Amino acid sequence: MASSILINHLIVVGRNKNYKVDFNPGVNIIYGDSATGKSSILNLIDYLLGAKSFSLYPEIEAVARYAVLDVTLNEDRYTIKRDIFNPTKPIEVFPCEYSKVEEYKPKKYLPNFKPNSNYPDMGFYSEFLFDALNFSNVKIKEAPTKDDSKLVRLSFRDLFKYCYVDQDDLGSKKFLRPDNYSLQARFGEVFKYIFNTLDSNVSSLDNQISAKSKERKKLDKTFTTVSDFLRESEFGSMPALDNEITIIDKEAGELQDKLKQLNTSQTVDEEVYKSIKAVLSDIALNKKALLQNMQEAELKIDRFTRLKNEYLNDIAKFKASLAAKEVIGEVSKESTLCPVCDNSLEVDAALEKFDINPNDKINYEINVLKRRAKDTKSLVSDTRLKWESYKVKLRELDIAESNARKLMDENTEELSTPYLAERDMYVKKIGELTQKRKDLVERLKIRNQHNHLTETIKSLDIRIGQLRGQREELKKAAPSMVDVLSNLADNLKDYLTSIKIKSPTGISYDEKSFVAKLRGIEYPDITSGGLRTIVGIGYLCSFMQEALNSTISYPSFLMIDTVGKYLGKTKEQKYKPEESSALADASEAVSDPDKYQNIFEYIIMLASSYEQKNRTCQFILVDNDVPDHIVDELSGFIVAHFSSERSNGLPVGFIDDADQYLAQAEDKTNVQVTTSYTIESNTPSLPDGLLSDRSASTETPPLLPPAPDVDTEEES
Amino acid sequence: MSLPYIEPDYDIHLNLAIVLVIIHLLSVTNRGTLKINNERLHIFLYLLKNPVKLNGVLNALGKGSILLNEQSTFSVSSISSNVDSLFDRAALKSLISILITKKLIQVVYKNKDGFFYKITEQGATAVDNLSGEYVYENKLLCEKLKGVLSFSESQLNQALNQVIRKESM
Repeated sequence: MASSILINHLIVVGRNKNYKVDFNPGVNIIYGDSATGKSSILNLIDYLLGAKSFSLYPEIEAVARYAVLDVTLNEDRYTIKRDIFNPTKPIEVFPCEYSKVEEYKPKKYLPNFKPNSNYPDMGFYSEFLFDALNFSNVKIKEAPTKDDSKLVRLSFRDLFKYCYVDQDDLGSKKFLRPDNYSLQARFGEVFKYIFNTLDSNVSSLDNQISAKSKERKKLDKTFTTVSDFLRESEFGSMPALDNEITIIDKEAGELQDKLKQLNTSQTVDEEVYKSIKAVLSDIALNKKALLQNMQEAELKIDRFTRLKNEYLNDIAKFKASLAAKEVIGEVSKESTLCPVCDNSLEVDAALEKFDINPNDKINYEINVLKRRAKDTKSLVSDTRLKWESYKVKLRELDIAESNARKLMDENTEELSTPYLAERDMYVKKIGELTQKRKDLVERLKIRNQHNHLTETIKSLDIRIGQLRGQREELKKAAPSMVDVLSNLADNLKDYLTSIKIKSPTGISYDEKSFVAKLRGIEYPDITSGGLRTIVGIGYLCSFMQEALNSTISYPSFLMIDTVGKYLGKTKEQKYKPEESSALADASEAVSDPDKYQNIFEYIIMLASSYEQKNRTCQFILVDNDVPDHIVDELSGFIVAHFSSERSNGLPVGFIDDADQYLAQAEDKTNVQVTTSYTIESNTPSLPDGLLSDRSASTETPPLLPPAPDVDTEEES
Repeated sequence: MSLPYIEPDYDIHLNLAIVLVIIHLLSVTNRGTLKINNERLHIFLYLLKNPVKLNGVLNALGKGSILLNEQSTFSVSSISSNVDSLFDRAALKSLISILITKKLIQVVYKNKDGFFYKITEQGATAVDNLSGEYVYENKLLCEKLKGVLSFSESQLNQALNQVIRKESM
């Protein structure tokens, strides 16, 4: 799937107002006098796409807060927000256009691959861009020819070098071939990445092979170290450990059996104990009953004895009564007179209180009592006998009880105590054995783990072999570099032919450095600076053309700063060609306005072919000013809107001061050659009073020295 | 009121015999002092009929104790305390009347101390002629009671009260 970067708006959010540049699909031209901040627009875009830093200049520092890029990556629209004062702050990405950012929560990314302790879990911005563009995130080799070369992450910045040429690099000798060898190598790898000759699969295979090789080395080392350690610590070999475990298992089994036996015998003892206890409780019950019987018997004896004694007493009394009657005589009922007072002594009173019993009645009573006494006595003696027998029984029970108690004591003391000790011993031994077994099993595990290392190493070797095979196959199947280079050379030739340079022959791309050659001469060795500019632009355009023809990892986005560098057509030459180069330039006739015009025409043509194929591309071209004659020649209407005389509005935010103007389209109807490309338009009417004031002083020289359009491109 | 059996303690002859024994043995001290008036006679009669209490009184008065046979101590009446007779002065007087008519005792009036009873010769002979286990027992008890004759009636009453209260508790 074709990938594209389409910038919609660039906004610098200021304290009072926002400074905005709108972009369209196709060609966008920014032009104006030097030091008007044209380049800083590109710098800002570059910065918002992840450049390491952005060089502030006093004007922007005075008013700006942060920069925002409203961009469409493939199909999806994003708004990227970045602090311009602190480049290390995370970049915020909103999944929407700029007008809707309030509705979304941004995702934050780290601007570079350096892990940041403040944001430990944050992703990298470069990875976000790769994902959004549907490019594979890969690592590339530092040393492409070595298998175990350290791999470095491919950064979006590496790729973007082919999308943005600033005014210093364009036409410079170092543009396509840096002095630094490792940088050259990296350029090469990125080039391969773009044209899928460094396929992401190959790259990831390399990655895997490298990782696996490292892992294998590590494992090898671990294995040796562990082996040494195990040997020195007399760890025991696997068979020895196995053997020990078997022995321990056997011992433990025997002990378990013994413990089981012990448990059974304990149950038996327990039954004996229980029966003794039952007997004891029976005895206790019987004793209680006996004691109660005895008590009752005692009570009976007491009562009967008392009764018997009472009877005996009564008998004695009756006998005494009989005797008294004999001696004293009958109590006569006659009354006698008191010898002293002559009152009659009444016997009647006595008779009321006492009984006068006839003798026979008394004798009868005596006999009855005697009989009763006798009966009672025998009852007493019977009860006494019973009591005695109870007593005997009680004594027997006492003896039985004490015997049972003794038995029970013996049972508990003489049997249980040693039993418990034995049991403890077994349990302890089994515990010890279990622990020992555990240790041994742990050791076995370590041994196994150790052995497993060997297997892992073996399988790693196999895997590495397989991966190498896969890589070879992929390399064969990958588009051949020769084809790619010849396509590119064809594109370049088409370009140079349409530019109409002198003798567009000997055009090719170097197979190793991928540098373009003209007339068999490598780009850096071309003496004419203007020609280098033309070839440099052609080099990038060949990428754009190839991205249209086949699927490559290139976002169809190109920013060129100062298209007419070294072409000698601008009024104020910022970049004066060197002496030698000047001569060469003259011989190449690079200052021919046709050539300059042809470059624009070629680019416009390229954009329209994108349009025809319904594909998206974007060119952002910057130049100081386009000479009038070229503007005239160039379809008239493009330049008409961009003539320096007419560019009166200037976006304040980007430009050094109000009297510097970015190429401004006063009406938004940008010139369209065909339909697809449009010319850069700026914020239209600017209500800012300050700005208006400044706008009045058109054409006056800048009050402040122009900020240098410093290269902010990230160096790898 | 007639019961199907006869109660020996209410037999008139028995009671006459005991009173006669008391008067015979206790009325005159060795020094010839008369001791038995109505009050003492009443107390002694009660004590002789309740030998367990008699023992208690002797104890209370510090005059030791007598060896009682099991028959008299271990009986139904020994654990019951019937004090009705102690308040029945009329019954005693009727007994005295009978004994006087029979000329077995005589009444002596003593200045300040009032009336005392004394045995007659006829009475003394009668007591000597009384035989039997029970009379013999009572004579022995009376011998013991001689030791308490020196106590006043109120002292005796106090001792008796003490014993009865203790038992009823």
